[in-house]
Amino acid sequence: MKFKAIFLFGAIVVSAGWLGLELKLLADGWTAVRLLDQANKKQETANNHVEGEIEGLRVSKARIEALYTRLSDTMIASRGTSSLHINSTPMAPLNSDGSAFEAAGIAGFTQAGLIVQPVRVPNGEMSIIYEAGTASLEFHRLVPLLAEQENADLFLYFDKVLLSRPPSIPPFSTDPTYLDTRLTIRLLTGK
Amino acid sequence: MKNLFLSPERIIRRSYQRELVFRAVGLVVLVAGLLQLPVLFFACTTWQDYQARTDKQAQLVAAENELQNRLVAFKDTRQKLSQIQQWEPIIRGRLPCSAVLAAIEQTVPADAVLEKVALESSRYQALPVAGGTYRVPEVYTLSIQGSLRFGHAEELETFTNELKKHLPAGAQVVRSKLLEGPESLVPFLLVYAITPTGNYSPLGVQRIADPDRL
Repeated sequence: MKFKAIFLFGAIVVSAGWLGLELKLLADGWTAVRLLDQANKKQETANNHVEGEIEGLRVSKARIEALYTRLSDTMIASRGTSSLHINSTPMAPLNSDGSAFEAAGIAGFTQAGLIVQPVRVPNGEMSIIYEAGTASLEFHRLVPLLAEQENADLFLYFDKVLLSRPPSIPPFSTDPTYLDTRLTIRLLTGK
Repeated sequence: MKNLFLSPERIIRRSYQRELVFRAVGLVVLVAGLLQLPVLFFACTTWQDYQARTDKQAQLVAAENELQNRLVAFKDTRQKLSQIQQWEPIIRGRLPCSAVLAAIEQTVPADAVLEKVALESSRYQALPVAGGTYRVPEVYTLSIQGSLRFGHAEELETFTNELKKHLPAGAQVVRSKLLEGPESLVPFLLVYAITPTGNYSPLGVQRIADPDRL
């Protein structure tokens, strides 16, 4: 009787163990398939992303290069001693020591008759800062000048623009009004 | 009672065939054996799935390598795009001052005269650029001092609103008030706070990325 009980118990244990082992292996297999599936989906998404990026770059290549050229040309033109020589008229006493920085970016101002003076740049800032002033430009000449300079250098900042009518000119005067103009100009420099 | 007609082997075999315990064992073995069929089926399908996904993984890796090779051809363009993206906040934060002045010119009433226009940036944010930083203002303050002809004081409100329409979205009127002055003129002070948002279309400025129309 004892033998029969052990025999029955042994058969159940072996069968259940065998089935359990098989189920465990099946579950591991399913898990492996699921993980592989997830990894594939992730990889597929990444591939689609890269493909989209390539397509975007291919389509926009001309625009990107044109825009980059426009922006970087601004940087080079503003910074180097370059081929763009500033007409050193007496109106432009650019007396900084680092005259290598005298740039095409402010050449337009000096040529328009503004007196331009470099000022100290805060530490770590990649810029050159100028203060400019004139009392010989009318509003309708000044605005196109500023627009031209802003278009020529896309990194040119006017930190301060101060225009005032000279006290000697009465209100509603029809005579030409040369504004007292004070500008603080900041340009981005390269390394 | 002695069993004289059956051999011991036969008795044992009969005992295996007929006793409940052995039948139960047989049933257990039979059930376990039958369960091997679905287990085998699932094992096969799982193995097939695994193989299919492994093949797909290999294909995807090959596709990735191919894409990376194609991407190398665009390395220069990518670098340029990345540089443009680095510059983008600097360009976005630049208020086109000339366009603001032009907007003032277009909107100023015929019965007003301007004495002083000041446009000043403040609250700078230092943005990283190659070799250091570059300050980008977060706010511009536009202040206009002028005078209206006597009897036209109400035009200040029109001017204030008209100019605000021409300024970039987010421009706020900080102050718009009439001051004491001589009898023939009514001085006024108008102050706006302008946040550079990058969208300057109200000022009539063309986007930098747009092709040049000239």
